Amino acid sequence: MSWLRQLFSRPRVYNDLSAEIQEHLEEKAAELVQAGMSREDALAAARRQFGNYTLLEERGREVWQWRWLEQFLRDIRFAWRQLARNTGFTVAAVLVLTLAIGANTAMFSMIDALLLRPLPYPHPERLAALVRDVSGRNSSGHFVSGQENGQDGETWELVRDNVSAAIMAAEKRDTNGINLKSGKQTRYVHDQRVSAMYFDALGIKPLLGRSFTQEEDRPSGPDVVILSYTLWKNLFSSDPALLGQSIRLKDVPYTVVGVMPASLQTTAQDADLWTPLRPSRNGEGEGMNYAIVLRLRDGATWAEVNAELESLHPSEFSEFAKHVPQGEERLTAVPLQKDLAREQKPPALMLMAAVCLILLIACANLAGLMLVRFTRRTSEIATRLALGATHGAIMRQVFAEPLLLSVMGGIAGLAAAAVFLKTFAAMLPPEMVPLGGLGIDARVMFLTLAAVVATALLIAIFPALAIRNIHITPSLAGRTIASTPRSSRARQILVGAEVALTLVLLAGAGLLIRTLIDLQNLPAGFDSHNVLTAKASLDEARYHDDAAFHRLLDESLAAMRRIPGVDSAAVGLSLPYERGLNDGFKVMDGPTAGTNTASSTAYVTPDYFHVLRIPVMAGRSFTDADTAQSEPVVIVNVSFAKKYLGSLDVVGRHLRLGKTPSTVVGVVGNVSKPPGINVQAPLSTEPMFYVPAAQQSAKDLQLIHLWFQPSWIVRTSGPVTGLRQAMQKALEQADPDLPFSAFHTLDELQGQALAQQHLEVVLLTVLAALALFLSLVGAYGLISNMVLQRRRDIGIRMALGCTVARAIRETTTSGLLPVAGGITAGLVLALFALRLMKSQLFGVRNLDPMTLLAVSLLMLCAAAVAGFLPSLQVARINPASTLRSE
Amino acid sequence: MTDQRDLFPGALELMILQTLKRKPLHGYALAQHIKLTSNDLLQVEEGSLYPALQRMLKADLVKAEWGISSTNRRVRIYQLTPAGRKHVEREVSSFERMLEGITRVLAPAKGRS
Repeated sequence: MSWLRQLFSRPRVYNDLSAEIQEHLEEKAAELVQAGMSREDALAAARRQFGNYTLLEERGREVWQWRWLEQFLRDIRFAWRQLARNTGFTVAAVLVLTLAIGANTAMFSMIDALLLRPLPYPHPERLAALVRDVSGRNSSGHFVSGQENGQDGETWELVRDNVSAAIMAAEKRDTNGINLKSGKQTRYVHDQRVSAMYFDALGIKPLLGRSFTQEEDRPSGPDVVILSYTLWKNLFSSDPALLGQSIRLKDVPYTVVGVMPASLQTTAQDADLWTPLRPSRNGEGEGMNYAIVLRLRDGATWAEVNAELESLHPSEFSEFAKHVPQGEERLTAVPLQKDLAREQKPPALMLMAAVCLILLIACANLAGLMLVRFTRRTSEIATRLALGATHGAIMRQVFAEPLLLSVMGGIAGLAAAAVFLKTFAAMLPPEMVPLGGLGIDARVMFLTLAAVVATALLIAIFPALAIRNIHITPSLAGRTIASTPRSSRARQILVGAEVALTLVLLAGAGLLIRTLIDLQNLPAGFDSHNVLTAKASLDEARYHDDAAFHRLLDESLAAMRRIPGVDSAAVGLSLPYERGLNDGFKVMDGPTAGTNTASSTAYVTPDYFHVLRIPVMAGRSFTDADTAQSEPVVIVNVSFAKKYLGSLDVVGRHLRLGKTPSTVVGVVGNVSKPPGINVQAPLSTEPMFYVPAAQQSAKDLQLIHLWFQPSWIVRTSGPVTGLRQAMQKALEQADPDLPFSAFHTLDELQGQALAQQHLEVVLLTVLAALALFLSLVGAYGLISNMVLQRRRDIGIRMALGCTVARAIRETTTSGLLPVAGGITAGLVLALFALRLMKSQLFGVRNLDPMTLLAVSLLMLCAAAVAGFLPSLQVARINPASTLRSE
Repeated sequence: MTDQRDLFPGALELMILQTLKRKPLHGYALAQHIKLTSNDLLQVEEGSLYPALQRMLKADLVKAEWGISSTNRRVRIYQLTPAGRKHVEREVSSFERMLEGITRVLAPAKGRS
């Protein structure tokens, strides 16, 4: 019999069964009547012999039922009625779970996108990045090791020519702004430079045309370009005839050889188009400027690739070993996904741990509330036990309510997670959004489901344990399990646990806030008011001539100074809050002579320091007299002077930059900048040297402008309407084909440099506030329940002469014991948990005593207030009436 | 709640099947027959037959049809299905083997006392 037929034949089966049992009783009775019994006696005897016929009939019916399912539905219906009766509690509980489960879902979606979801390429498990395993003793003598994914041209050539087990391709992981001229309009577009075989390595076929050939990837090969689908569609109206035609990029014609499919995402997500990388050992290839992607060839293994890589020793490796004690470098392949997620993984894991804590706190909170709810139902439960309900049936009910709550919280949590993810995506800088974007997939849904089940179990376990101890007799007599020390201890433990976990979150948030405050309060070193900046790409064929470059700067700056309201204007290769160019130098004289290292640097026009109000501490600023023909000069900042020149009295000393010795003519103040070398904090006062824009050679300019787009900076005396258009016009007067990319104030740049820290602070602070609120609710509930239970006790003591104030003090104190215990436990927990945060903290230690003390006090004071309020009810206890009521 | 007087799981079913093997019977007659043949040694609550019969109906070991009894009552008569016949043969032989084993284990103990 199929289950469907069973379902529909059920009424008939049930009727047959009752008719049959009725017949049985009748037959028995008839027999007994024949033997001489009265009809009533006979019927009673028949029933007696038959047994409990209602129960037996039910057992007979159950054979045809899906017992578990139907019982389950019955339990859920019952739980629903219980929850519906107390809407306030239910709404609050579902809301808390929505936030907690939603936060977990959203954060896990981030982890999923970063670490678990396969990259959006065919066979992503066959993709890897080439890294250098670097280890050695650092300047303070500690042995450190790490992985670096930047490679130089020599390494590229070595792996390209010697590794046969994988397809090799090189790329720049970020884009450069370049100018695309179509018709009369010139646009600023984002160009990612990639080598031949790049798209083959990713496993992506062009939508139209082909990828770059080896010929095109050689220095001074043919100028070709591959367009992104979006650019092709928006700018060229999806014209298939564009293939083979040329478009004007960087002021020269580039032949379009391919269009990529719309779905393609490369490691630089903002790429509008791709041009050949043309890697070499010279120029940019002298530094670690390339990233290398590998795709395992069919039939090859990673062991083979790594064996081939290990046999390679670029000359840089022996240099490193010579200069660094115990220094060692090794080439190895790591999964591409792991390499791409390198920087975001620690903060993502930290935030994941934080949202797990909030879910635990929410569970502890609801477990406490649920315990009280079931406590109030003690006599109802005892009655049901007395009437024959099994403990199992009662347990099912204890679990049904939390399950219903957490399922509702889970469904609403999924919706909340979608909103959270939108907010994340808006707050994150585009380069920090994981490849493939953020979203909720099957894996994330599964985690949500797991969170729902775990939540239900965690909430139910305490009431379930309490109910095991219900004994029928005392409970029927009106005493509740709450009065047993066991269950009130359970509540105290729950509140203590909440407080402990909250303290960890508060401490974490506190440390991040201190970090952010420190970073934001770093002396900026300049005056950001009334300053507007804009970038333009000078990676243009016509600016490979230094004279044209100098003329552009002079003419555009002169035009900008003429804008009404503009006080001064300058150009600099980089701005404060922006990563600078790294360049090598050698100290030629003085106590530190011979120092040969690299530092952040920028070319600037003479007014740069004046426009930004960067103080000149010694010597002079650059002037118009510093030209290509005059003596080469350099200005250093205070950090540079102290670190590399050994004193602040450095005017007149000499640095060798490239081939020529340059004279130090001034010392200027430090500015906040993201470090380019030895990244230890998102912003710091980096050592830096400045060179005059006018002394840049054509060769240097060509290389620098490949990577960096200089900024025009103007200072106004106050707000100027239409300043942006006026600046663009001024630039056009000098060069009609040069567009500005984006206008920024310096405060915006600061915001961008600290975007990740901002997001972390916002998230952790919101979570910590929610945790604090939940644990205060827990403490409040604990103490108000305690007052309720001890009513009689307190009443007697007050009748015997105890003052109200003393009764309040005693209640509050005993209620705060679990809070104090929780704080202690939380501090111990923080010792371990805060290690996770180490990589996110700058300027504070991960166990900063001030922060820990502050959050402990905050927790204690808040809990004292939360505990004091309910104990005021003590004042309303009337000794006479409490004594009478018992 | 299991039936306390059900000696071991399946004993009642086995007795019912064995009885039905001789001839089809309705519930009341089945109960009387089991009572009589066991000489009242096994105290079976009459009503516990019915859940057992429902289980066997569902497992397709027996089938039931409404008919008229010898005492002219409208009753539901149970008879074995081929599957039920096979089942009872298998179960009885394994039951007998088990019983034989138990008897052997118990016998020497009796001799020693």
